[in-house]
Amino acid sequence: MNEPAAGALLGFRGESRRVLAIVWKDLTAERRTKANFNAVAFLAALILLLFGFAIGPDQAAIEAAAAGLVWLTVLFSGVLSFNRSWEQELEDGALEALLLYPGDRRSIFLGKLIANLLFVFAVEAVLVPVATVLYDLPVLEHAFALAGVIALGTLGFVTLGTFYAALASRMRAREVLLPLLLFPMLIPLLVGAVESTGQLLQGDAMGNAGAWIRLLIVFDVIFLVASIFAFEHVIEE
Amino acid sequence: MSEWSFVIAAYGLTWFVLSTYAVYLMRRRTLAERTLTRETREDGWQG
Amino acid sequence: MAGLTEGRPRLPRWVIPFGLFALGFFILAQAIGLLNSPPEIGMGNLQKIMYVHVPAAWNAMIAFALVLFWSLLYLWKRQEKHDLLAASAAEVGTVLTGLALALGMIWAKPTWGVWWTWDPRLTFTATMFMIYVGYLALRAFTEDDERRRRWSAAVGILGAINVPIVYMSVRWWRTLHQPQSTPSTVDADYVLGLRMNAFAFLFLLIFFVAVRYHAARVEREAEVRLEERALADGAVHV
Repeated sequence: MNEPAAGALLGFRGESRRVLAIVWKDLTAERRTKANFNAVAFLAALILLLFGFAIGPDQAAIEAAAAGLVWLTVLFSGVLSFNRSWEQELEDGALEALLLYPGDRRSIFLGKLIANLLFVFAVEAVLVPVATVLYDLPVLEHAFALAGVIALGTLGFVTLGTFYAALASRMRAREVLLPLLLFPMLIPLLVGAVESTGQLLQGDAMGNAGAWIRLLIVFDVIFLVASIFAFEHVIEE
Repeated sequence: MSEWSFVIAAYGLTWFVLSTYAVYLMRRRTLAERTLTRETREDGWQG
Repeated sequence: MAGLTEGRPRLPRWVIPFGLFALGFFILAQAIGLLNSPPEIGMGNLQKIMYVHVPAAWNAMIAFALVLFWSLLYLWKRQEKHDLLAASAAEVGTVLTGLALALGMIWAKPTWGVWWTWDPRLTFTATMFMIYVGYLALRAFTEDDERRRRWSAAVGILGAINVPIVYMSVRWWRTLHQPQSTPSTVDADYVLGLRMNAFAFLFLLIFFVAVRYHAARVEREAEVRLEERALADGAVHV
């Protein structure tokens, strides 16, 4: 194997190892203890319940709103986990120690991204069954497609959430600034996720979900690239 | 012709916002220059 | 004490005369819009609101394009002036967006009977307003200068990237649920008024950004001198 290829391969392997190390470190750190996960998951269930009360006992109204309620619950509960992930680095000053290699910023961002993604997926593993029961949702019909939509929507959410939290976690009023910066940016994602989820829950007779899923994919790709780029050029400590 | 009241409201709001913002900008500029003059003068004392 | 620049930032000589020109042109354009166009078939005299609503919205987008441009330039060249230019454009853009939003609602009430409707333009304008208020909040809450510049540039760029995505998604969202009767595209009668007002707002945009930028430079200069003096004093007392 020639030099550059070998170097690239080793670099890639080295980077993936660093990314995985960061994922592992993040998920096992104190702030990510099971207690924290339990609290967030429980909050998500609570929010779903509150939405139920807010919309009213009429099942038709709930069914019409269900997709939106579920995604809002994902947003409101998920947003709580992003700042924590960065706050660890702030406390130990661990971030400076990590920044030894040139490709390291990207590794840190990807590591945090994956850790946050796994965390939110875990919360959704609780949230979706609860919503299915509370709102009587026909999830089994298009289960595979629904899982895909959830994955795509969550990816976009976590990508931007991880990026904005890198900033917000270092500022005053971080709890309010993160949603303030993040949520307007998520509006296309919310629209795409809610529409496709809603279509699938109602049987998707006209196959409309496909167009919205394409929007989600475009959104995810664009902002994954943009966030990595922004993180590399903008975070210097 | 209640339509006109909306047209008037629209134009009135526009002129109000634009002129208020213009005044705000000029004031901000004046205050900034006054501050800088003060800083520069005090620099002068320090040598 | 060196300060940030070699000398004191000066307001360029063209700004005030240009501002007066912009004011005169604006009055002319507004007069033409109000007086020259006949009432439209469907909308009646409400059509005249287009002469303020549309130019405000268009120029807000121009302002945000400027934010993108100067933010990218800042990340490339790392010169503070580009950061201040981007911030100035963002503030002016936010003002124009807020105005466009209010005007959109003033247009909606007599047209559709409600102050708010989830039509693409109102929702798009509201979303952009939120995104750039976030940009301004970020700047206000970040105390470290270097960080504020870098982070604003990133947030400004990400926000600008989202503009076409937000635009498309809210349009699909609305046309899917209900074919919306959007205001008629402009007939020949109205083109002159619209174009003139569009330029009138553009001239005002340029004037506002120029003055805002100058104020920002002066404020930064004062800030830098204050910091330098504080450091020097500290050194003396050590």
